[in-house]
Amino acid sequence: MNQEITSTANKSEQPVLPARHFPHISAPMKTRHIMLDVVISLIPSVAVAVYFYGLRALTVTLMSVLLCVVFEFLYRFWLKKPSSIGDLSAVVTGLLLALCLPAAAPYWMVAVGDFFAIIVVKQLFGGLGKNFMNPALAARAFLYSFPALTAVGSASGGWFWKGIWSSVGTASSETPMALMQSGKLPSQSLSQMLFGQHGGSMGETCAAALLLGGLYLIFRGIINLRIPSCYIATVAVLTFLFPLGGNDRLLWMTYELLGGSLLLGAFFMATDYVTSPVTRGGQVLYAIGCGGLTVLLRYFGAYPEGVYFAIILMNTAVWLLDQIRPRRFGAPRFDAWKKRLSVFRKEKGG
Amino acid sequence: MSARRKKKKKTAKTGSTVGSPSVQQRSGTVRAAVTPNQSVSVAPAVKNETRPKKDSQTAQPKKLDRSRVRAIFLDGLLLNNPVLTLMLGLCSALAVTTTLLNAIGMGIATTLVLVISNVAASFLQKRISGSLRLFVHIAVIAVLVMGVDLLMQALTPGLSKSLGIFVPLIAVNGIILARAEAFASGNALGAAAWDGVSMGVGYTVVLCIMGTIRELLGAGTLLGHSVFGSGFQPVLYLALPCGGFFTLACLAALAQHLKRRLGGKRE
Repeated sequence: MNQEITSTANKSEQPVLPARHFPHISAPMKTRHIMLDVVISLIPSVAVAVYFYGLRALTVTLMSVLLCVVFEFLYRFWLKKPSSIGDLSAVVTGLLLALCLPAAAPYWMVAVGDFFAIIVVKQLFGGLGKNFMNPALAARAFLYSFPALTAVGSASGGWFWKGIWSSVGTASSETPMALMQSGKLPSQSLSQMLFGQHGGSMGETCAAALLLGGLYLIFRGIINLRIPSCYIATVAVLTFLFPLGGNDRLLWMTYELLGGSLLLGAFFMATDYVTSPVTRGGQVLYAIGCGGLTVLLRYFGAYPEGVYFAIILMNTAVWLLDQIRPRRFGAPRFDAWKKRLSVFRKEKGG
Repeated sequence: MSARRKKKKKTAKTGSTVGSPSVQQRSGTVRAAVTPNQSVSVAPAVKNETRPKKDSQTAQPKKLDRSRVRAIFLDGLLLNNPVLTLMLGLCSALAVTTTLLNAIGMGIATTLVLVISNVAASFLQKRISGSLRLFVHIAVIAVLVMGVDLLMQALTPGLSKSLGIFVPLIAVNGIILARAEAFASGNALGAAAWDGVSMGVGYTVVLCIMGTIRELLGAGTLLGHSVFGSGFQPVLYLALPCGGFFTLACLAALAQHLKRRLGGKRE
């Protein structure tokens, strides 16, 4: 008996079902490749932030990335789980969190945010693929609990070396979003909105750099256009229909689209694989929900920017949107809906 | 009456596989009174108890002997902690714990009601018929809470004002009814009173821990005194309701961990 078992054990070391027959095309697409592309696509935004806010933007970003990786490594090491820092997802989380923060954010706040993102939101729920919220966004929402710090406008024009060690002089020039919540158009021109030169978090600065990164991701096939386009279109339609303060519709809409973290959220955060729906219909509904909530929160919320909260809220609804199944192959159109309706009718009649 | 007896027998049979015999006798009524999950999550209280499957009118109430004192206290503090294990009384636990003072006041008030209602339930167990028990318990608890509320308004008006609606709401706190139904009405006076004390202490301790964490980090103060100085940035998140849930979840996880370690040592 024992011999038999050992012999089968030996056999089982060889592949039992060699999947070889067809000419397969191998695609070495792993999590690491996807994440690397996301990192590459975020580099222009970081570069622009460094250009406008000085070296402190770079130190905040690097520290955020480093701490995310360290926290991820320590948690997995401490619990004796296989290390997962190789898939670079922690790097992306760190980058995104840094881009959500103003460059003047103190270092300890970055550290607290990284801890919350990696340990609480991601690893406690089981690591990458099991987090129910985007870790970077959840951490950003957590950091709203420091009201004095999130109000920092992080005015542009800090010189290159200035303020790496001390916290940057917080000249609280109002960010465009704060002005727009009270129904006024910001003083910046449209080209300034597009290319930077206004206060806000690092990622809000330059819409053009974000667009560049987003287009790179679409070009590489990492994300598809469905979620970003539906998201941005919803915001555009709603702000065009309901401008605040009696402003010109078209101008108001353009400022709403270019200001704030809308593009960052639409291209890099709402499209997170883990926390967005799988099916087409689900993705469209998800993006429309994100857009509607963003406008509602921008108009009526307590904070000037609503993108973060909108995406987090829709993240928690993804399980529901994933109930929408695609049509069975060969089944007549709207078959499932007809069945549901017929059940409803029977119940009503009986 | 016969229907009730049947139901009770059923729960006793199925219950013996789920948990310990000690808590199962009344589980049917607890289930009806509170929610289904809460009676199932009750962990073993005292293992050497064997209960006759008869009506409470004929069964002998369990007395408090020396071996049970520690077991009951540990039960209230950790193994069967009303907030962290039974998940009862969460509303007050989440709402009140923004400051330590509120938590202490709420804990003491609840403990007071809990002890007296347990004693009353134990005293009444043979004097009222089974079908009336639930209503009598609720009436007793309501009267007690009115008394405590008036007492707090007279003695500590500030605390009473800051606790607000949550003092009268002790009347519908699940812990008190659950202990009266599940424990006190099958036990002798001493055991019931001691159970009330230990459950109350368990509740108060959890509330105090939550209150300390939330007040210290959420406002930077402790009992109204500033702790860290002016440079401290309070974590607003913890002072908000979401912070209450967060703290509670962390504490419940810690309690599970401690219970597991304790169980490992026993074996």
